[in-house]
Amino acid sequence: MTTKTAPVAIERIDAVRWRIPRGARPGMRVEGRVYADDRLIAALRDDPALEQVANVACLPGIVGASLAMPDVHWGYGFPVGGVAATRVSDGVVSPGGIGFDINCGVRLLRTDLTPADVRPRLGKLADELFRAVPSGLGAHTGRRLGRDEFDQVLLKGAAWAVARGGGTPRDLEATEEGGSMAGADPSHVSPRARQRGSDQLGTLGSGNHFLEVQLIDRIDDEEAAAAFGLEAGAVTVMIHCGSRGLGHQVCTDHLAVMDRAVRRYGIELPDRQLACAPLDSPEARQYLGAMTAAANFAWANRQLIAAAVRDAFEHVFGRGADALGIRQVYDLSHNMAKLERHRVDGREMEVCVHRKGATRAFPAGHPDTPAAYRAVGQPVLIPGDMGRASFVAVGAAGAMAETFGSACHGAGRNLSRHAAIRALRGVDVAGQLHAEGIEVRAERHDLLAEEASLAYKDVEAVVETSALAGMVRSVARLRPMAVIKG
Amino acid sequence: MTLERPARVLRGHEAIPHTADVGIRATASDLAGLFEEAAQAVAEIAADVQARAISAPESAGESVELAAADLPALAFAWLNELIGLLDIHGPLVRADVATVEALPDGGWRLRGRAAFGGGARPRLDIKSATYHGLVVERISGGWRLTAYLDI
Repeated sequence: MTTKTAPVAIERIDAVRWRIPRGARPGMRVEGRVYADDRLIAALRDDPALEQVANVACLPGIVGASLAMPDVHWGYGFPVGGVAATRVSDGVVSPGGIGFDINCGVRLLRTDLTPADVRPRLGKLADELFRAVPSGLGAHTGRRLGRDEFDQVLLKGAAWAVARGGGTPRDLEATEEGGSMAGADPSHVSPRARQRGSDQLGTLGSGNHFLEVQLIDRIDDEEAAAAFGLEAGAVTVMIHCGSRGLGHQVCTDHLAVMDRAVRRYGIELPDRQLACAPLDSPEARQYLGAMTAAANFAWANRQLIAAAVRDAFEHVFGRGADALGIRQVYDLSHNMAKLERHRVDGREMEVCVHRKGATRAFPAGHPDTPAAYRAVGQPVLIPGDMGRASFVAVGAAGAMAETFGSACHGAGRNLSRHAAIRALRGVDVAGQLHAEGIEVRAERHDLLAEEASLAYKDVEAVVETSALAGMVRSVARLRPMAVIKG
Repeated sequence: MTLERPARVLRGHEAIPHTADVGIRATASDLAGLFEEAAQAVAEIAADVQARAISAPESAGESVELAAADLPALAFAWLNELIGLLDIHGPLVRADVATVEALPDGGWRLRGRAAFGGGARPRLDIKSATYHGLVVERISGGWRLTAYLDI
């Protein structure tokens, strides 16, 4: 059992970097590297996440190091907050290194609205958003698409939604991969996956997924904030969700295939959830085609949710979305594998970067950063928790030098769901948030404790550590005003 | 004098903690019961079904037949069959496992039925059962299954 093995040896490199030596566990091909300050590492000492970092270091073809972002915590196979790059020439792809919620990610909309505009109508706005965006377990829209139309979603992603009036081309420019990643192969998305996703487009889901109305209460980088359209005192909307049942099933289906492939290719792994196949194998090609289709589904999903958010604001404020200054800042994935070129040991090579609970963080000048942001860098969206704050950061040069252009994806959990419920037994979480001026709408108020602030690490510490390590620069802090939960 | 105690029927399930997700541990005296207990654990995480779990008639639902190379792979397939179907049809209200049998090629096969729907209140989306920490093991008097579910 993962929880019963001896703690993994870890050595301090500097104030925010730690090393897991190659010899810490049998079979490690590279060292592990953990980004954490003293506060964050203290929370990790007994966390199986460190063992998982060492396990990932055993993947065939892994290069550089098995990386743990500052928000890392115990996951399944890979830690959440894990990054691993494998050589395309002789490495593998591991579906567990992307996760079941393929292209789970965050979208941020900015507005011209201020608290003076929003506060008097905040309750009504929260109600309208809760009504407009189906959430909770098994949230469905009742809309079902025919097979051909469904394939168009899997091939075109957010562009499919925009072509049907669910947004503007400007949204696509402000989305990773333009919201439509090439290489999708719907023929490798199973009937069960299609059935699970068939009426879930435009739904939020449950768990840690959310929709928040937020207030920018601090600007840390004026130049980047100006480029992103962010001003202190303005209201934003953050959307966090993924590919719903379709993506979950794609990962499940292909993980079973990879589990069999591991034996066929003679790959030895310390955790069966790391099941993988060589990147040049049929199993890998089929998985990557299906993963890309699921990623496009997720972008279409967030695109439709954003359209519903715009409609809700128009309804509540009686003005058009343009007049309200609603514009997409960025949409960023944090569960994905990408084929990218990076320098490893002084040599440029093509690698498959697995980001499981980690985002791209490309710096100024990177060609994959939208043209409008290229002078400052790619926005990095870092949701915190529903009681404290979230952050907008910008990719920095250190990410390319050390982390395959990657950074943290959130605060990272600190407590299990059970521990959070125990700690908050008898506490009215929604009532407490309401007393702090935060409106909450949720399908299950009795489950809010699982997602309460004390269940998460301090996102401010995570962002500070990421900045000290040179992965990102903080741009703005966002405080929650209204929270919609499944 | 030795008092003879009736053999305790080994059967039960519990949730076990995980930082981000949820673990389950099921025990039973035989493999069919073990897989039924694991199903009940999944049902209770996904919805408020404690009182409803036996409400569906025995004949309800659809038949399930799965085969896998070993018992953990069979557990992975069984739990994910249930998770996929409850995402489509609603809460799991009955799961019966008729047989879990070893096959001549060394693999394992499960035959059973599962029923979904009804009015149970949904709780959480379960994305999938994982292979992480997935163990099906013999214990004194029966079997134990441990699995972690991605929430």
